[in-house]
Amino acid sequence: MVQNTRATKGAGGVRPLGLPRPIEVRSDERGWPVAVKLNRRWVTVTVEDRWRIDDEWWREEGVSRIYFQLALVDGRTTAVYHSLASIEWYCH
Amino acid sequence: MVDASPQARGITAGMPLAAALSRCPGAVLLEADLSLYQAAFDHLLDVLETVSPLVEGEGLGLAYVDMDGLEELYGGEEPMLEALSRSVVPFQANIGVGQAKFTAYLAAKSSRPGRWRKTSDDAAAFLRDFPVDVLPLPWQVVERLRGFGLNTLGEVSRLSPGPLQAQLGPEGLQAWELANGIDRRPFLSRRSEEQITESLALSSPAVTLEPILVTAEALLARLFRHPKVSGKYVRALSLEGKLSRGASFTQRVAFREAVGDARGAYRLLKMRLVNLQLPGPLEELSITLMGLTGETGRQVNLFTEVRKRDNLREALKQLEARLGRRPPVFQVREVEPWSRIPERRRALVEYVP
Repeated sequence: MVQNTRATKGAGGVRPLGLPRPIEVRSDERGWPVAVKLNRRWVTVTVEDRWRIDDEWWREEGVSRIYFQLALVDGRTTAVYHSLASIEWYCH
Repeated sequence: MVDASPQARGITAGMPLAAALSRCPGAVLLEADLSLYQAAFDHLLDVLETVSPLVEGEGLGLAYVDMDGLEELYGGEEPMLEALSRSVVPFQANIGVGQAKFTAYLAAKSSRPGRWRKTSDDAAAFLRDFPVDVLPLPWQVVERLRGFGLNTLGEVSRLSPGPLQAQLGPEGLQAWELANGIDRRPFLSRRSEEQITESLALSSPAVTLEPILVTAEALLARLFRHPKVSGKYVRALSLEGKLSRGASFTQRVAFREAVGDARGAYRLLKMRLVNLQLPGPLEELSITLMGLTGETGRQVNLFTEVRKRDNLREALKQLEARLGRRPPVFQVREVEPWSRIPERRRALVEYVP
């Protein structure tokens, strides 16, 4: 007798870590971030590095992102990216 | 070639794709999802077992049912066949009634969907006009028969068996016997075996082994927690994967000795998967545990981490009692640490001590 408990389908037992979260970003005319909203406050940033990732091109929703490594005014750093498939900004 | 629409004339299952395309150039090709078809067919066999306890599945879409002596139960042959036909609704089965598998198969093949046909008493006369394509033999053997100008079963049956056997070996003799209504294949009723399956969709299509192993580990942990498996040992498992664009793969792993915990099953599975070559990115993984058995005697090492794990298991049980549900305890596992996409690098996997 085959019993298939397929009701539990879904990535329930394995959860990816560091999924992207939307973040509000103000950018300049080149599209580079100048400020990000953290804890409901806008924080000025400077771009330290910039790189592009293109991957999983065989999928309908392939990955095409431009990452910015940002230095915050208080000395912390963070990375945000801009997905080429949408106008949204994300951070990990 | 797994199967073809009835409109695609001259194409039979098992034929190489190139040969099929040369005979039917306008054919539309569909990628087969064999694990889905197998699951649907297994379900059909389960349903048929409610009509007769003796059911044999012979490849997708073809089942033999031993109905000997069941007429009394259903009030005659007609109501019995009616019950058989009704049992597989919404499918419309072509049903054939015969003394042997081959004649029953051909009677079914020439019946109308949802109806049945009985073979005549003279099996050779009944078989005479069927093309040699219906023989349950490899496609190459059938092609050789055609090469000798033998296009129908009647033409095969008129020969003596010697020359056929000399040319085609045992399969030549089998072709002659089948064409004369002699079917020596035994009826093999399927064993009713308890199995249990769990599936997980991968968060992103996997092309490397590591995410597959992590998913397999999570699936095994879940399967061995299932009440039907708890406290039992399993002898084999089947791994099924759904790939991008509808393709699939299946791999069966038989254990040398039955295993009774997820950790042991995972260790053996991992060894078998090292050389796995996926034909495409994996999107969903299913594991079916088979051959469930009672506890088997085994000698374990006294000086292992068993006690440490037992303590942790006890602590989690206490936590579960206090929370009223399974405590959400996970461990961080590296999945694709080299990935350029940050969320692919690590994952939380349910922790089972």
